[in-house]
Amino acid sequence: MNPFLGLFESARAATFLAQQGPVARFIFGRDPQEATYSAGVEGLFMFIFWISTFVFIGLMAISFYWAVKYRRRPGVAPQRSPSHNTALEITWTIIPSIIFISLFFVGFRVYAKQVIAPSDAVRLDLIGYRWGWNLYYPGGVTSTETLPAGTLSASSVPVFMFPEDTPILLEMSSQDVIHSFWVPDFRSKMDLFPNRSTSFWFRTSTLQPGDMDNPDLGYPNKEHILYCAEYCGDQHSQMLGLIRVVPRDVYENFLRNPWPEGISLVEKGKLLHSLRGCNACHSLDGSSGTGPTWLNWYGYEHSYTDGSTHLADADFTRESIYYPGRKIRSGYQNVMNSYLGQINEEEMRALIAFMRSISDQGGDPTAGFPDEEEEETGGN
Amino acid sequence: MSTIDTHNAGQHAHHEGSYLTPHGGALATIWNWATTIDHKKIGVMYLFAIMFMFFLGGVAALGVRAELWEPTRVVTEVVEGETVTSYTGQVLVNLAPIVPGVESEGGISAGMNIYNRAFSLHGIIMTFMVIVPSVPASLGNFFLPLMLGAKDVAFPRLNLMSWYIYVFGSIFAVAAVVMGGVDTGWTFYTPYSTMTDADHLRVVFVILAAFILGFSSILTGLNFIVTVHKLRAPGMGWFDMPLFVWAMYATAIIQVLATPVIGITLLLLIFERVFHVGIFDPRMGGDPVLYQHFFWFYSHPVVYVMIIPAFGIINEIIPVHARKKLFGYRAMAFATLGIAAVSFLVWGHHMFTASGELAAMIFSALTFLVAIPTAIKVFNWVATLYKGSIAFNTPMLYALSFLFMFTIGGLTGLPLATLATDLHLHDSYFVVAHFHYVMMGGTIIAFVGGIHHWWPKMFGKLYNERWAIVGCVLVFIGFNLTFFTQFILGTRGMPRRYASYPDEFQFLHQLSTIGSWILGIGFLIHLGVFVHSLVAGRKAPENPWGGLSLEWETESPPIEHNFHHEPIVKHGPYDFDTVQPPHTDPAEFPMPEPLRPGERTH
Repeated sequence: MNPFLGLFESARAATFLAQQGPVARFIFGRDPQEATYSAGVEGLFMFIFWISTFVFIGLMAISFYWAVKYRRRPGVAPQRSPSHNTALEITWTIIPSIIFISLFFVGFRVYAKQVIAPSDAVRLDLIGYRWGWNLYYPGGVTSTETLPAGTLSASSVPVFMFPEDTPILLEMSSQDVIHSFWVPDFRSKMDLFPNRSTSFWFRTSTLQPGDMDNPDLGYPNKEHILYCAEYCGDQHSQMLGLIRVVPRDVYENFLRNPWPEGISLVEKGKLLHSLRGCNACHSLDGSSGTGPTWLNWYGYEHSYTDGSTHLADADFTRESIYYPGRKIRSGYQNVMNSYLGQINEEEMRALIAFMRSISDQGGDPTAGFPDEEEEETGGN
Repeated sequence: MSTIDTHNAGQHAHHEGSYLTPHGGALATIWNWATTIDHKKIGVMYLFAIMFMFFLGGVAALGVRAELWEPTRVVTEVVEGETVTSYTGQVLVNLAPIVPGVESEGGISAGMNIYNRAFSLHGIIMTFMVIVPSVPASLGNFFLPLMLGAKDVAFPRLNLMSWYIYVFGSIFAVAAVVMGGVDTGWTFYTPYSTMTDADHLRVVFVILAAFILGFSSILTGLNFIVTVHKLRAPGMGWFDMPLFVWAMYATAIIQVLATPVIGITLLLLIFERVFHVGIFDPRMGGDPVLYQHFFWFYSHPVVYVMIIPAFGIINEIIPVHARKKLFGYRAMAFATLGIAAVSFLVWGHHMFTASGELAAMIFSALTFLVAIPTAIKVFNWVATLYKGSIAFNTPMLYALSFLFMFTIGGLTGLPLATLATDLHLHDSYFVVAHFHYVMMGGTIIAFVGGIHHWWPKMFGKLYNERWAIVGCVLVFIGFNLTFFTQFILGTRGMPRRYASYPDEFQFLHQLSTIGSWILGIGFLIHLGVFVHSLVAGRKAPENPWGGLSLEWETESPPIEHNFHHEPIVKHGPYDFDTVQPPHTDPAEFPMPEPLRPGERTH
């Protein structure tokens, strides 16, 4: 029998008592996502919190009381008092040790729940890059919705749908530097590396009719903010996402038909501009960011750091997206990653059409794509 | 009791002047200071250099807090039919015209880039140029030989060399700042630090600065180890040393053992950036997690290089100003060495979200091991107050502030050592608040307390107690307002190193920023108090607080060779219940009743 087992069990009981109540809500703000390990993490934190508060107030009260009671009075000598007491010293060594050992074991038990995914979890790939996230659904589908700039951050934020009551396992890696996947509502996080994969799992909630985090959607939903927690450069603070838990039929319908109905090629390109993170560096209003603006880019000649100039036509655009290091615009640095393999032909067409639509030398945005009408109405 | 052989000190008192006595004209004096091998002068030069760097790092911190007053918000307006996008809430972007290397004039990136440089500057200066050298290089240099009853450190020339290495390293860092600063963060995590600002030398300059500063740290450590072993006054055994000396000794061991690792790591990083040798960057076949292991193998022990000296200061301030023998002297000494030893085994707790599960489990367990001696120390300090005679002056108020803030800093380490809760709190504001409570609420607060404690001895001048207390209270209030709010920001989900944030965090960020202003005012008041003391302070007596360690035997300021005669130690540094402190009036510092026959001392 594990001698600490009784202690664990009482700690666990205390944990679940501690997570209730206004103090926990004040400390954590939003509720833990209840379907997964989050409540356990929060409860453990509250358990540590109450022990710490008790110890802290005790120590400070004693110190304050003695400091005032034994304050210096002119001409009064200090009293004789012990400077050593073996029994007392052993006691205050052993009691914290027992508390620390139990914290370690309880912490490890909850940790095991955080890092070991159930075997029936739905596996999805998540790639982090500066500054955005790409989530790949079955069949290569990716997110097609963003929150407009200003809702959560100064850049637009991608929305990732997940079906309710489902364990999800994200296989994660990074395209450039280290990022970290943190959803505070889940009370857990994991880093993304450029040279290895890591994983993160959670179980989505079962939706109740009253769960309407976004009331405009017309169906029950729960939303959780996703942050990048590992410093990754200029727009680290803009590398957010919104996780939306939706009814299963909504999710399945999205997988069959990811793009909104009747969307034009230009509108699709505009969405991709923020979904693929282009917006982090390329503005649409003429201001220059980490990279050049897209406004009046297409159809103009631009100069490059090797001294050459090039007309920005469809082929050159394609090259710049797939092989960004080949030609660097004068006045900018080579920071862009290749999008080869991440942007398919369909999406490339949409991006080019969008660039043409915001250039006064762009001509007809859909020109050169004669089959656009049939393909779009056919859906994909 | 006592210490020194005072039999004819009076006759010799006039033979030798204070170490501060000018030599000839201004130029001669400057030359004398620049070439001095006197540990006291070197300590004083370090003290002022560190104060200056603390000022620079503090200005950067105020800039960071100013940026976080408001999140960056996007404003879209339609002007004459055209949609115009602009951004509000950015503060540091106004510096763009004077910061070299900020490319863009529009968008949100420029302001955020400057913010990243500001927090990197703050972290790099405060870590490598302030907290690591702070106590050992200034107060340690000055008081370690005095407390041991020695004339100087074991290798005075090496000591001067380590000072110049510090200056040289700092010049590299300042040069990098003038060139525009870096946005790597103080941790230089790869592959970001390999990729960022690729065609500029400033990142290399900063890394080189940290590399060079490491040597200063190693040499100081080496010097202290030898000094403690070889130059203790006759009669001073290991357990008769003041605990400040124990702290310096433990710190020195860590400095000597750990600093070479960061030196090698930073050199490898420079190689990778300059010669494109793939070590940490996966694009060249390296491994970024390897960097994290190397980095924290140094940087975790160095956390104890930062905090153990603070323990040492508190171990001096509390007994002297409470006139009480320190409770549990031996436990304190062993706890100090224990922390130093275990500090080498816990680096992996910085990587709970990066490394494997088994490693995380082992490092979590080892981390709790460090907490035990730390807890013992806090209990000992509190127990020392019992039945004392406690003076509420500036050093003691700082020591009590230290107890308050360091206890919070220590306790909030628990959810970070616990695996499950760390996965939530890692890289959040909770971590920022935790290490500021330890590094600033612990080390800097103890350092400022120590400066006040030893100021009369160092400069022979008293300071204005009333204004110093005002400064101390403002620092206490400002500090807690600035950083306690950040604990709650962290648990609620605010990630660190963010230039902007969702609206829900704004209220707490504003409280934190207001706190930073109060904190700044508090430190400015201290600066004023110090300047006033140097210019117009009253002459300090030899032993204004009734201390018993050897530095209080000599004059204020000490004579050039510290003591007129080599001191002979006959009592412990904390025997306040049996020994009348030197140079004190029994009416001002009365002793407890002498023991009755047959009564035992505790």
